[in-house]
Amino acid sequence: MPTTIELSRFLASNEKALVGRDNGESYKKKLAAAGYDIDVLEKAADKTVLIIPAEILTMNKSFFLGLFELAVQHLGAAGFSQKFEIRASDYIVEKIPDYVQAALLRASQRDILGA
Amino acid sequence: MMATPRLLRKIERKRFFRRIRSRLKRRLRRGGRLRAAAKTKYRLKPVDPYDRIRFRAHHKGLEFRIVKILENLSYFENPFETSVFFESLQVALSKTTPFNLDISHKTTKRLGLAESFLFDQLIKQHKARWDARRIPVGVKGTISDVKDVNNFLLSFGLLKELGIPPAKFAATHLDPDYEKKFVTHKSQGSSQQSTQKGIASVALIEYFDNCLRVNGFQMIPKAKGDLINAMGEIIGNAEEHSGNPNNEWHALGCYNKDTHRCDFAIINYGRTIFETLSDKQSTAVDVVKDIETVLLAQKEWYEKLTKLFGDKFKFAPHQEEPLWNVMALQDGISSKRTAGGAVGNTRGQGLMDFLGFIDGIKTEGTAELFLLSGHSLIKIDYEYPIAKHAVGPNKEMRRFLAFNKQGDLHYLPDNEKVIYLRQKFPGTILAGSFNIDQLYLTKKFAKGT
Repeated sequence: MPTTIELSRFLASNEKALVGRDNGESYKKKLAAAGYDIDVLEKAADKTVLIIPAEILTMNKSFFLGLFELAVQHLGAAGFSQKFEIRASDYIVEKIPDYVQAALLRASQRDILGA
Repeated sequence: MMATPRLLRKIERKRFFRRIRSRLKRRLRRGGRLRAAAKTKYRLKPVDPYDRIRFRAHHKGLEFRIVKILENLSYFENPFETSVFFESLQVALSKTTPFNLDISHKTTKRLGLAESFLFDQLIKQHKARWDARRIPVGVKGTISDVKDVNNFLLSFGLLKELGIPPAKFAATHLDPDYEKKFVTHKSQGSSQQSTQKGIASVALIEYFDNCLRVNGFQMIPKAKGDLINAMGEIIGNAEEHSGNPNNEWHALGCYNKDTHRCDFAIINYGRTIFETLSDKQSTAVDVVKDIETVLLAQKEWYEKLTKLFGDKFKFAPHQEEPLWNVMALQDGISSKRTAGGAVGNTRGQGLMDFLGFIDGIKTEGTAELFLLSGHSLIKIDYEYPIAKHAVGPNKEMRRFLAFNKQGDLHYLPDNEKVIYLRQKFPGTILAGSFNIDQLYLTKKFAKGT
């Protein structure tokens, strides 16, 4: 039986875009307090369905990483998509694979700057 | 009934007391001194240090000082003069004596959105400072010879802030449809409300979309969503750098109906990028220091700056700031990035996401962005493209903007694009303007509907 999270229960009034890492982290805490701890759900046997209401126009990468960064890294891209289903507008759903890839980038700052 | 001589004497004594008290009060207001015993006897309160100024302002009026706005008040086009202008203005306005302002835009031909906001903030702070001391400061001014500047001032800038109506000016100096010509947007927030940046990003992009509708266009949903994401990234970045949850950021937008140009500015005060990146807590400090050593060993850039600023540059603080800020722009560089496996190890992608997005959505050759933080100004016009290189043991692709022909961070950046400013801006501004490529727009309305 999948766990279903209705994000509409947690949205602030006037919120039409899920933006910012701190905001993603704050949602993660709010969800955990309501019994939907992402860190626990990633280890659960059942699938988790996150329903983002249609009035949410977009979710940016930082928000996604604030919410799911560790879950993606623990589960890998394929494991994450098996464990978590995000139901949202087509626009948001199309973005998720890119965000998942961004969560898997591992090059260190020294690698990047080549110092 | 006749007053008794005793009563008359009492009245006379009281009158004398009041006369002397008034005289002494005037003396104090003019800056004179009194013995403590006299102050007690005549029940004179401790002197307000501004009493004297208030007295003089009331009787003689304050002097007017002329503030001449530059011909080109733009960090992008005229960084050195603009930076000096703001510093001089700040110094002048922080004086302990108040003065009225006579602001001359007469020769102003170009006024940036962020620059206009900074100027208005300084003037409003000056007025508020003296208003709080019950010394009203007057502001008058001269408008520009350039219509577009006046249109902008009326729809966004100081004239709007001060509530000066367009009827005050001759029609030859502004366009009658100035309000439609320059539609503007302002919002603000702080990291205390984590949802506020989402709300502001949506408001800013819906504002641009509404402006485009006036011209019969509309953004395609993908462009709209991507722009909201991108604005959210830079506001989030601004919040994180400022270091204080009470520091406010300001998101500004302005659309010119004639040129279809979108101007935006995200302004925040607080810690600069350099201060955050070079902090002891920063996880990027060691690696950036290493690369700085490599760069400063190449004397060319340093020598050019010394030539530009003369000997003073040698003693200027934080000459390395522009180099650090170039590093901060790179994909995956962040003062808060943690090692793999911990929360925050994917930080540092937002700024490059934003720059990459503007690169994609702009009409070729129209984007002019700048990143001002502390002593550093970086001009981004995409003359040097964003390059992708494979890095690390997994050969993952990362985006780079090196600001040099080699496209390599180990070479010095072009000192026309990466600039050291002697005057420090106490915070960070990411601002710019661009035209949206037609590919990202749909023709929404037929003419007349």
